[in-house]
Amino acid sequence: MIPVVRIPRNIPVAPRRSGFARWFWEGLEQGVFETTGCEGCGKISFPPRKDCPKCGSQNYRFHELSGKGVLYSRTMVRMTPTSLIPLAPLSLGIVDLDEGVRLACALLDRKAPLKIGERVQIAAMRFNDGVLFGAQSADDTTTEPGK
Amino acid sequence: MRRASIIGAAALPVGRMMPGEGATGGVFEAERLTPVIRRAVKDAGIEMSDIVSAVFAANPPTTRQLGFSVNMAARLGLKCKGQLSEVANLGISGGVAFDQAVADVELGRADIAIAAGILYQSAIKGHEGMEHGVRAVGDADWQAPFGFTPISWYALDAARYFYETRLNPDDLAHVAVKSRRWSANNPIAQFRDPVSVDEARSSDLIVDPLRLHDIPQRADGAVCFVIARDEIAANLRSDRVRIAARGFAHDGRHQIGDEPHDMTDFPAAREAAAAALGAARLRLQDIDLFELYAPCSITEVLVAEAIGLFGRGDALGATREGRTSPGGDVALNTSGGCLARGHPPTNTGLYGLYELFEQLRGAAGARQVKGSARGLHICELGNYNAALVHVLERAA
Ligand SMILES: [Zn+2]
Repeated sequence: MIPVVRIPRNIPVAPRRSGFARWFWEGLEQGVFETTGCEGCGKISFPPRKDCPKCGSQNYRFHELSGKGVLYSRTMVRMTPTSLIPLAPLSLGIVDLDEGVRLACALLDRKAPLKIGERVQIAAMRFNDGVLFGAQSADDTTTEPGK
Repeated sequence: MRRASIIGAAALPVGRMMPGEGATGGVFEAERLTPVIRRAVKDAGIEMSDIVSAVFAANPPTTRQLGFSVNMAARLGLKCKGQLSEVANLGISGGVAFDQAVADVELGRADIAIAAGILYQSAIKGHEGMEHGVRAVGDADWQAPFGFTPISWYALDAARYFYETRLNPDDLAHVAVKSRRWSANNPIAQFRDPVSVDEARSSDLIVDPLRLHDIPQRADGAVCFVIARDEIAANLRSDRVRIAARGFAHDGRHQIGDEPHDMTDFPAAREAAAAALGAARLRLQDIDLFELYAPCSITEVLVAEAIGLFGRGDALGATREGRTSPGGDVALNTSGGCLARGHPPTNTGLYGLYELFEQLRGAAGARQVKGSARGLHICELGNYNAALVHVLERAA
């Protein structure tokens, strides 16, 4: 389980939920951060997918991620797409999870901007009407655990 | 394989030309590109009816006219027997159009081919343009909703580069300064006024750590090349420029993959450059001019290091010391590059090649790098995930 952060506003851009990956977003709303791994070679993929990009196997299993990792890089986007102007500036980064998975996501800077090299924790960002994921400081205890 | 040479070209000054939505009295895309093609054809000393293949850089969704290549062919009276098409792949679109036209000549499908493009985007507001941009430079559902804009990826490169090298991001200002020093003498550059180091390093932060002078401004542009089989070219022009070799590489990623890699490394640029140089039996030291697609200041630094022009962490210092400025020992982006010459993305590849053509035929005026025999061009897409390289050489 990963922390869940409530964002008291509507989601500016809702990701489409494919028939396959619906469970990812539905799980994320509850604080479950789960992707897929390959039954054939063990590769963990993100985002979740049915087929393995490494060995081509069609046999996948669900793989729950800790959401723990290190911030690889970060930026602050001050000039945003129209739909994201209400959230500007956007703190964004790239996170390398302990499981060897890299992803790009929002950064939840609270006391200070997260620093490159800092330990981070992925949290579910629960908007009024949708969910995304973002990284917060690994020390951050202000958010409730997922349920 | 047959050899191909450039025998003529024309380019409009990079700038804002696109009429606004619902405009009357403006010059629309086909009207804007037509005289550019006529100029290039005249420059080449051929007739429109000599053109056997025509390849256009495909237009983005901001262009009103769809079916663009057919519309243009009808307008120009072309009846192509080799190829008529519009090709695209994000930032390398212009380069791909050139590559395809050259390929038609080399494969014997056409004795004479044109590669052309026009980009109209400047009347679209920056925020609106980014709505499309985020879907091009990242996964539409897993990255775009966060707002990863095209230049945000270069900013992420920059932040990581400065974290690893412990260099000072303020020094990026020197890239902007030297770009303007070159463009001061480039009549088709978008920005020709000088900019000072202080001005550049105190400009507004746009995508940290990149500031206004580290990023390109919205711009339109149009370019046309005429390419001919080398034997024909030799009869038409004494100052033709031959395509010596090309190389291409994709690192397999769309911006980033799901496994860690060094984002500042640009392996596709290194591999494509090595492939082109290898095919031409040349070494990097044999190249006199480098036009390296670099939308942001940091990108020029990283690609110059990636292809081995400078050691890791050395490009910024070299820029500060003036080694890439006019009169320096490395002729890098003598057009002024994306920051000063300008960056109409789908046409930037064509503009970079145009600069090499001007330089290699000795027509670059006050920014001429004297005695240049060979130039290397790279265009790229994404976060330098793919790179397309052409080596051009003076034929005579
Ligand atoms: Zn596998």
